[in-house]
Amino acid sequence: MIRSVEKGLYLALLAVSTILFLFALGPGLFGAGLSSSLHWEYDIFKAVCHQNPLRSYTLNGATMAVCSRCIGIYSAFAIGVTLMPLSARFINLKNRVTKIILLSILLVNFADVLINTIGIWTNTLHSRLLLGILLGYSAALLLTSGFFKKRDEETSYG
Amino acid sequence: MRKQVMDDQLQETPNYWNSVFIGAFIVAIATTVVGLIMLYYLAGTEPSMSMVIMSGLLMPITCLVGMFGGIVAVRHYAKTFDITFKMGTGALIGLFTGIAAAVIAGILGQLWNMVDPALVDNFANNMVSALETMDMPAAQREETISRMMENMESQKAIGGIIKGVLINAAVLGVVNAISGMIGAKIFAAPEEE
Repeated sequence: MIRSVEKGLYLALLAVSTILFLFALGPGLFGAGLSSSLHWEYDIFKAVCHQNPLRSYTLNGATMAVCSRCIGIYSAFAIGVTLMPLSARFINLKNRVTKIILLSILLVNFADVLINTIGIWTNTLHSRLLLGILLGYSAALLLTSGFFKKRDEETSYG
Repeated sequence: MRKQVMDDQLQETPNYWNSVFIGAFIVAIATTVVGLIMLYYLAGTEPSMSMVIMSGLLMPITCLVGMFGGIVAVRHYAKTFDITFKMGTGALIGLFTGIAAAVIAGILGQLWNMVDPALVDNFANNMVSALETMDMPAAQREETISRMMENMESQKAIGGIIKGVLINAAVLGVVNAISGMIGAKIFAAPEEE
């Protein structure tokens, strides 16, 4: 059996991660198209993404509000947070293991940027999306044990 | 042995504002410095395809630093007092760190605008020239240029500056609240977990 802890914080995280993901999809989600070049979604993510149109997907003809790597992070994190109750039931990883997974994927993302800059490897929209998805989901996986625990676990950590 | 900070023992919770401001200053200074380096690089080179590509490669560094403020602040708090605490505390520290970082970065940015007011204009002109040389759909080019010029203009007005700081504070606050929770799981979880 799984029990939830810090229920309020989990619901807040669920709401925030879902909203961030929906906003990150950009004006195309609302069918705004190219006419909405100054849409508010771009302002929202200006501080946390380079928003280069050449490195971003489009939706309904409008560039997404974040790059392909970031849309991978936001989408996988939102899905990971939504699936936390299921993940806690079926994926039983120690905190130490999830830390190592997250750190490893973070390093792979850094390496991808660095190696691409040097010119050894050229990443693509899809490869950056994939690495972003791995990073977003691993972050959600790390947080899972903080919100959902097996009934027999005796730790006061939230 | 590390002690656990409980919600019902708030009077024993060490003050985290020092960690918040350290995290915020690191994020604000790092993002400002990296951003200025990139701006000077892009404003001082000939317009070209490689210039635009370079901007796409350098910007992720700034982005990642911006997201890591919560983790930095939470790590500092946990290590300074050698304590464990709940993810909610990490989220709170991250939230305040992001908000403070946005305000400090906004002030630093405006101070630098006074030092070198021509920088942003040079950057904008160079980027427009570079985009005009690129092989991309005309509609997408126009969209990008108009968005960029609009942003540049709004950044010069007081209302635009305040609006920018408020938006950045909200976004950096939320993103760093999440990274603060991640930081709490990494640096402040009990050893038995």
